[in-house]
Amino acid sequence: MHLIQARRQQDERESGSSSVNSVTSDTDVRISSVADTDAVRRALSRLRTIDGLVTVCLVEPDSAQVLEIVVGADADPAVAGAVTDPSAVTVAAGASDVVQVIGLMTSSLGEPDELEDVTIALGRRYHLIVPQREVGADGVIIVLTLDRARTNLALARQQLRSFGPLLASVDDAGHVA
Amino acid sequence: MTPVMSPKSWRWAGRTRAADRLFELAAEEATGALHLNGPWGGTIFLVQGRIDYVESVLTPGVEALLLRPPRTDEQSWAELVPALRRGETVETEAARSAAARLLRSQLASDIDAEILRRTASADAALAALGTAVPETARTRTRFRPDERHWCPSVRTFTVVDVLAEVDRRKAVLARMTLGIQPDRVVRRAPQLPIERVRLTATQWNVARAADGSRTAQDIAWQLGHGVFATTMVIHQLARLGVLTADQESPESPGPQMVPARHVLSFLRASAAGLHLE
Repeated sequence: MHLIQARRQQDERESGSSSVNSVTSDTDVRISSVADTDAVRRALSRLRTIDGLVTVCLVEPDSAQVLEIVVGADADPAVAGAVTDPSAVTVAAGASDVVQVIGLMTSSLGEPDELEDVTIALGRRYHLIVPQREVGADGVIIVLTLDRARTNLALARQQLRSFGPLLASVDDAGHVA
Repeated sequence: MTPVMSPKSWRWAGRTRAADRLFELAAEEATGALHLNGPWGGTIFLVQGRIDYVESVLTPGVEALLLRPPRTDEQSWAELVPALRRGETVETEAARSAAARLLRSQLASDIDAEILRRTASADAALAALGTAVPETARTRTRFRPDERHWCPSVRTFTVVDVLAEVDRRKAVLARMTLGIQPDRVVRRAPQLPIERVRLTATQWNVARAADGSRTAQDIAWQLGHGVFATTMVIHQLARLGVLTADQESPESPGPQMVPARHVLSFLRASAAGLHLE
């Protein structure tokens, strides 16, 4: 399974697209996402192989803006990948609200503690919210949406940890630089 | 290749002349810079009809976000900010070349730089494209073909994507409570309503800067943060009782104001935004 995915990614990389392709339209973002010159997409694309991944959104929690979205390697082809997709906008807004409310809670508790991650378990989907404090004007969050039928939550979290820093610079071959 | 950004697909009550011009340029797949002058002035950089970057006279650009302390020492930063806000050419050029040097030196990671660039651009878009400029105001738009932004582009967005984000932010601002707005002066509360409170570094810096003479916009510049994000942080602090808005102009909510819910919800605002006609 992993080998097939890796192979597919390799193919996508080789069929390669230049930066010019990535500016043509949103419909080809899916195809050009791996061999992108964009460091942000490259870093997020590393996470595409997580089993059952539907989307990865990079969100600024202070504005709830979707900064970037990447679609999972074997997600339903109907899942689009535009930053203004209503579902992506809704997930980003909900996740930002959750982070804001937990911020109110930790501030009011007054204890020296901070949010590590949030798991939202719905009947069909998991949403994992992972804060990245060192990046952006005042930190960003990564929101992973997973298909519950194809996801083992413990395994997904383990896979996630195995990536190390999620927003590390990645070279063209998908290795952490 | 049919462009999906026809003005007809864009139903937005507050559409401005600048937005109309952007749709034209998108249809032409133009590359260059659209300059808007006036108090809400700014520059929109396009590459093949897609928006590469937006700059505004009211919000800190990517160079400011990159150079903010501790990258620049506090003293030089305090001198640089007023010059950047006045748009002084010499200082702006110096800041840009310093930021470009920083990027080349790789002291700022390419990911961090790109995220700051998108953050700054969305913040500027709200200021430059989200303000309903009165018909009487003499705003002129001028397009300079082939002009590019100093910071090389790696990702562009459609005009519709950018305007949708502007619209979403407007819906959030319309739901702000406690008198918080980007241009409203804020100050620290004389007394905390709770026994103790724990603030993040940013919240502390914002609270420290809120001395009763500064607006959210001023504080954003001072800290090198986005104006919209800083306004959200201020709302959160007001909710905690740490800050209050100046009551000089008593709460005279606009027509869109909704019942006061002090916990502002992005989700609720975006749901309202989606149903806007």
